[in-house]
Amino acid sequence: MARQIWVETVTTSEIDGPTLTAIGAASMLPNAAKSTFPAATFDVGKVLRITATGRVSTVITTPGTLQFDVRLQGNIVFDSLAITPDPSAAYVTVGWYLEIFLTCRAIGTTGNFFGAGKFACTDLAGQPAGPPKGALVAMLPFNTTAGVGANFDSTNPNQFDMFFTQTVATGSLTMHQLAV
Amino acid sequence: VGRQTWVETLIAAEIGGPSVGTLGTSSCLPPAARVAIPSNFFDVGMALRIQATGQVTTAAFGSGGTGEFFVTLGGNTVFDSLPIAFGTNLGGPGRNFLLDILLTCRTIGPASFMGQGTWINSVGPGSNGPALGQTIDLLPWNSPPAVGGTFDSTFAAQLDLLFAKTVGTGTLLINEYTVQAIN
Repeated sequence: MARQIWVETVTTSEIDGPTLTAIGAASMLPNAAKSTFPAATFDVGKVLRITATGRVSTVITTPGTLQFDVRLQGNIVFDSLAITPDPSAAYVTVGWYLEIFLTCRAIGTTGNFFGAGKFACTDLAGQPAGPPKGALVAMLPFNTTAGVGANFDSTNPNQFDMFFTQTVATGSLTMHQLAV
Repeated sequence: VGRQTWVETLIAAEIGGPSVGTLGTSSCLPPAARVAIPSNFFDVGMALRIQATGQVTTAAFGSGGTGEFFVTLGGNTVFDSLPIAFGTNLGGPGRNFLLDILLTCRTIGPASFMGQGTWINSVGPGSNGPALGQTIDLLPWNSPPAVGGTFDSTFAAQLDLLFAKTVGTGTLLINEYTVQAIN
């Protein structure tokens, strides 16, 4: 009954990604971790599980938002949407854990993935005013019903990338670990 | 030292499941995702990891009802999440959830699994609203883990994921579903 397939690690990161401090979207991966899927890699039902860890800093009161997206050859196949950090306190280099689950729903020139995931961190809105503060989990896409992402062309090679977007220049984010 | 085993994906749903909206218990998987496990597949220590994502809809879940997941093999319940009391923060369409269940085979023949899992969502009793970070519900909910019901591992058995709820309004929908034999 088994499908004679197995779990394969597509890429990991040997080093940290860049520390992102500027407003706007930028890749959070080091160049060597941006592996390329050959043309026709994907089939309907194929699943990618993306795990990433890192650190984040935000200021009190106006922390802006945190947003992750997954890109294949520049096409945003999954978007976490804007996640709200905890505005009641400042956080300095606290850890985070991101896991994204993508199931291929269509292939061809209009391929796409259905995606959902979780972002675990102490720096999330919903924390109590004072300690103890355990980590919370943001369901992704944040505060929005999950759906398929943007199309990509699965008949061509597709470089994998992950972007992070912040809306204020007072915070920072660094990715430490990645496994796809 | 390696055991010369590998993680194998037994099934990955290519489409979403049916919208489960009625009282009672029913499968939340599309039929093609209800994989048949052959006879004598399991050994003691073999572990299955079941992961699902999906969404629950309508505020009715927040009015005192419960939701409950069952993993069945050949119709026998091998894992029961027990009734999860839904909180009052649902209030809207399509609240996302993540379900992750780890089952470890403890006996074969008259077989059983030890099972635990997590359910992350914005409708659990301790959760915040959907615009905030969520807490994690551990399964079986509010009860010590224990081995589930027995099934006959010497026969082929269909693996299914069922959902039961105690209010007649609201729906649950599986979007993504995978089962992996992790060893």
